[in-house]
Amino acid sequence: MPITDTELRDALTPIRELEPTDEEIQRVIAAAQELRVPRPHRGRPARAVAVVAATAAVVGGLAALPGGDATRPQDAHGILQAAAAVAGDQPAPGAYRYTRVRDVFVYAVQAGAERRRATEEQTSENWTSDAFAGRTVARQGTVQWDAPPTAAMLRYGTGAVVKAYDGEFRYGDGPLARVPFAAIPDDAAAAGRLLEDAIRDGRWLPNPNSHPHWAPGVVEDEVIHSAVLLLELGNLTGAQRQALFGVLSTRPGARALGDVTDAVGRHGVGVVLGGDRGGGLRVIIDPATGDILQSSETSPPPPATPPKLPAGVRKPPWPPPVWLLERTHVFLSTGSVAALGEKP
Amino acid sequence: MASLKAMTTLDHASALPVATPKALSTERVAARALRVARRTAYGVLGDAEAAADIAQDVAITAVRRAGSLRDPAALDAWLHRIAVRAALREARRADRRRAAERAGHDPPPPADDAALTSAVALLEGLPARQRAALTLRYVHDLPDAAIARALRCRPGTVRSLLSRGREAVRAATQEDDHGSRHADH
Repeated sequence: MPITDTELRDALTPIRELEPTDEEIQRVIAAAQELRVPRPHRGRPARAVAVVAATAAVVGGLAALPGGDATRPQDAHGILQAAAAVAGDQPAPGAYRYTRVRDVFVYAVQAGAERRRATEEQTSENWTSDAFAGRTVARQGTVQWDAPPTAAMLRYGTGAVVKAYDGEFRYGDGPLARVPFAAIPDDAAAAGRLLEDAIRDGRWLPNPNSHPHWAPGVVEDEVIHSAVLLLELGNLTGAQRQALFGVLSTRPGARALGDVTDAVGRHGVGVVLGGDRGGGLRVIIDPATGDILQSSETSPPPPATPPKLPAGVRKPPWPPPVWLLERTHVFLSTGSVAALGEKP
Repeated sequence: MASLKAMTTLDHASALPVATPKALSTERVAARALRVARRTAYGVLGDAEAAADIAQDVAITAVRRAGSLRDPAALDAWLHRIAVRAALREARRADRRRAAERAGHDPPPPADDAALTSAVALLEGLPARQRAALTLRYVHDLPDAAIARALRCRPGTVRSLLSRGREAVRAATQEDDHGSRHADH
């Protein structure tokens, strides 16, 4: 005789009656708060893996933590796969992705024989919906010079402050300028193929003919940067974020940094992605949520000799007057909100 | 990220109106997450300790995400989904451990509560997804569509999992009854 629904429901009643204790609830809340608040260093001194020593104080650098979670994957593929699994479990997004980001750009500025190093820092709040439409509010930022700049250097655009901004969110000039987020597949292989195809054919560029030819390695590099950018700022579903971490986990050359802290002392796991054309993109991931806490990158210095250009093309000044050395984006807060201006 | 650099250079400044989020209380989220996740994980794994671990992990994640969770109905659906997935992952890990050890299956320690032990015994031996489907239906009273969302499958697959699960429970129960009668003789 078949077992009835009522019989099964009755038989499983003891499981239905399991209730958490107050102590368990308080323990969970305490653990969640502890994960939010940077813990003081214990044990041996942190081993700095700073991007560049001169700006380590600004960008925070990456420091190995004492101990770490032994059960957590230690290789880059495992770290990214674990992040994919966690990202897939996140709740459905609201109308906007909210991010509060501290951006740090370090430039080499050259005027004649004189050279300076300028560090720009600014914090912005961003609300992004489909196709990167949304809003940004940024307070005035700072510029720090390693020595007083000359008048010519200030004319290059790196002045004394970074101006405040309140207006449309603008993903200005990259290969994902107009990407419809619904087009990002839930499957990692399909997402990887789509990104590569879209970058090659320039379908999402403001001007589709901007990059008709790609040098070797550039498309691969753009796939990595695009996937990371979407994970940082794209208002995507958990399944799409899972797919994008899956894309990153299949990229060749990814390296694990292990347990690290970001510029504001939060704990995460680090990976370096790509790097064929520079130092690689360093990404710190919150293992509990799959959110990217920080991404940073260094650029190799300009070559000693200018690039060979076709006859008739005017030669640029060399070395270039302004050269981006480093960039760091610290995602101080991320979340999903229902309306512009709302905060998680 | 040239875009972020570009957007730092325009000169406007005014504040956006800030909406007040109607967030669930942290305690409520923690309690709800612990309750849903432990019941689900217990049904799938039949292991009190593993279920408690999963419930704690799910609840911590939920509390950390509490600011984004405003709709109680959506909270439950999300909790069911991540609890089921965490339990199924743990079930796969447990299977691999058992296969690697080749030492047979160390049954989870019995619960102190005899009624709870009986309830878990009813699902013992069933594939993890069948256990998950039965737990979501008969412990959480979810309809097919909600179970399908939690298990990321079609409602038809849910009906199949439930049907096969019920049949397996019935067969195991009859076998036990049959064994008991033989023992009585």
